[in-house]
Amino acid sequence: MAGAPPTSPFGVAMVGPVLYNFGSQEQKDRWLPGIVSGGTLWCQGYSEPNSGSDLASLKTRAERKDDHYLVNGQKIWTTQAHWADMMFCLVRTDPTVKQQNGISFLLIDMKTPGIEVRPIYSIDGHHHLNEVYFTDVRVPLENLVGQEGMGWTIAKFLLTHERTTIAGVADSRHEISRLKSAVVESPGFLDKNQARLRIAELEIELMALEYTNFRTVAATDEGRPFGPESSGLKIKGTELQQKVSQAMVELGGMMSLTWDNPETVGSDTFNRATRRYNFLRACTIYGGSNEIQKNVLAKMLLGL
Amino acid sequence: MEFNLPENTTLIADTARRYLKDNYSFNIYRQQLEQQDTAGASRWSAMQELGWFGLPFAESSGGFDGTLLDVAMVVRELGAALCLDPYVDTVVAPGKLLEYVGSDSTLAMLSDLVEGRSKLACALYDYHAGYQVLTPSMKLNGRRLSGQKNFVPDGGFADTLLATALADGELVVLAVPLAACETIRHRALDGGRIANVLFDEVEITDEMILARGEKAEQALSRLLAYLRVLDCARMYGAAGALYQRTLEYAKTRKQFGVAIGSFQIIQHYLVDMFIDLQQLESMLFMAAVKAESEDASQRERASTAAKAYYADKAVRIAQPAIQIHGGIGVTEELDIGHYFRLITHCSLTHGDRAHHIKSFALLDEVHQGE
Repeated sequence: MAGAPPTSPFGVAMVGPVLYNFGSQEQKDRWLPGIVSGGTLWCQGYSEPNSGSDLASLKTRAERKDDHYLVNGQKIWTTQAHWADMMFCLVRTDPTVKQQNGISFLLIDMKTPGIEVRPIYSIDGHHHLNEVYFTDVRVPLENLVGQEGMGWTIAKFLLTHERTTIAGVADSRHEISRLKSAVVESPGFLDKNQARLRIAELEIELMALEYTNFRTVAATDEGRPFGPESSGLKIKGTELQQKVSQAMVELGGMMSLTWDNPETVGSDTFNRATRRYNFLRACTIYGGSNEIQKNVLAKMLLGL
Repeated sequence: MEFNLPENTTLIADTARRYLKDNYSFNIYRQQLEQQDTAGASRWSAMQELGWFGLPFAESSGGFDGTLLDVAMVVRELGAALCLDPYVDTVVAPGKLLEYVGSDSTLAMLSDLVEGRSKLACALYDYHAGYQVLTPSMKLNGRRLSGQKNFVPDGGFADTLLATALADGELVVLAVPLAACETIRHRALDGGRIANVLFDEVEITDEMILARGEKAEQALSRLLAYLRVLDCARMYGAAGALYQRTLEYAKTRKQFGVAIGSFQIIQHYLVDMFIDLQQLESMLFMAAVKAESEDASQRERASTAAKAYYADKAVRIAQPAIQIHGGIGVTEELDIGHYFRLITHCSLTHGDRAHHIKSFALLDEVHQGE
């Protein structure tokens, strides 16, 4: 909320909970300290070119050899893979059984020979995303988390955590406060009353999201696991992120038309609003598209 | 749903589509993103040969007497092709302003523009005044012009600006050589070029003052009605392209063993896009005809309504287009995200949604007062 850069979510919010729930003592001892200190940067090897919403169809193959897995295949949309030390990766260890039962959860050192990371530039003009290619990559057997074939269970556990962080309550709160300051300080013509009403609507939506998030967190404090309701948080949270960023672009008017301005034109906040607005079109797609979240809710919660 | 366009208008639209198919591509667009001067020389002369330079203007100025609907069809095709050639910003907009002022000297300038002998752009906005074009913050004190213009869409190559300023509270339209100003050019959201231009005690001679007072205000108000419709036309072309591409993608992209277009939610998204597109087309045709009316209230009512509607609905077509494409829709490699940026850009030029909704409401009050 103070505007500090967010910590990378892949370690502390995602693979961390997986390791303390499913990892062996050796794995906990080896990886948790780096996750807590932030010394090890992680990335998430889930999506593949033909396995987006249909994640369980993933094809990246890990064949068990004497003392290692041999990994071949491709991951895509891998955020921060170009910086990461480690990837937690869903691989297919058994192609002969039902899709969901043939998946395993592997930890892969990004420096292993045979891994190639290629950049993908997103429509905000920046490089966050990557394709990751695996060609005969040898991964030690002890890097398997849980048992072979448990990958889908672990993946779903992790996704409930991912979806809760994706709700982005603190992020939306911060952006709304930036938007308020930009409106107040805006040197140019801006209908401030109209702007205030629009921001107020966003703030009320944020309040509802925030208290729903509190209730979910409180439930886990009582020992109940995150359930499918995290899908609801993901849907509402990402919709709000998009609304806030769109409001910022629209309230900025022409000040939002600049892309790579060398100097501020009116307001720097508004000048830079469009890149974020562009990038955030992805938030209703990543972490399981919002349409998939609705399918999850319909099935798991409503019994449809 | 087919609306019978005049035969000549259909011909103009078809020619534009063919020309762009043969001479423009997403690859050319991506190269152009990196270029400072966005008028590709070969295409610039090709467009002149196609008659586009003369299309919006009266025959007496060397033009072809085309209607706004004719020009809108060209601009629609430019939008559909994601073309960055700044035809509207450096030909249509300055040309119409000169024509609407309509003095001997401005009509002579217009002839030069139609012949391709001049490089003009309009400088109507600054961030202080925002969309309030009749009250620019630049001031003409005696013979000295001081202030700034922002968001000047000069294609990266204009050498003379048609700029607005206030002289003792009166609106003036001036022709100012860019050489007399400090110019910082940068890339705009749609990938085109815009400039910040600083005027520091620029000396203005009598010949540089093109119009003042009511004459200047009327010319500007007619110009803006015209340009709002062209913003809509460009958005329509882009929204139509997004709809076509997304429909095609939904039929071919497979997840869970089937085309994603077989899922009901995707079908509903696409049907909504289709319906919105129909309505957008209706608004475009309506506004293109009425925005050239001699009746000022008709011009304003039609063009502000169209722009307000487009700034909402065209954006609402672009958003699900990305969503249905998924991850690939937010990459630089695919045109989908670029169309999204173009539509967002056009939703903010010449008045955004909030501005036009307010204008529209105020127009109604004016009528009630009559």
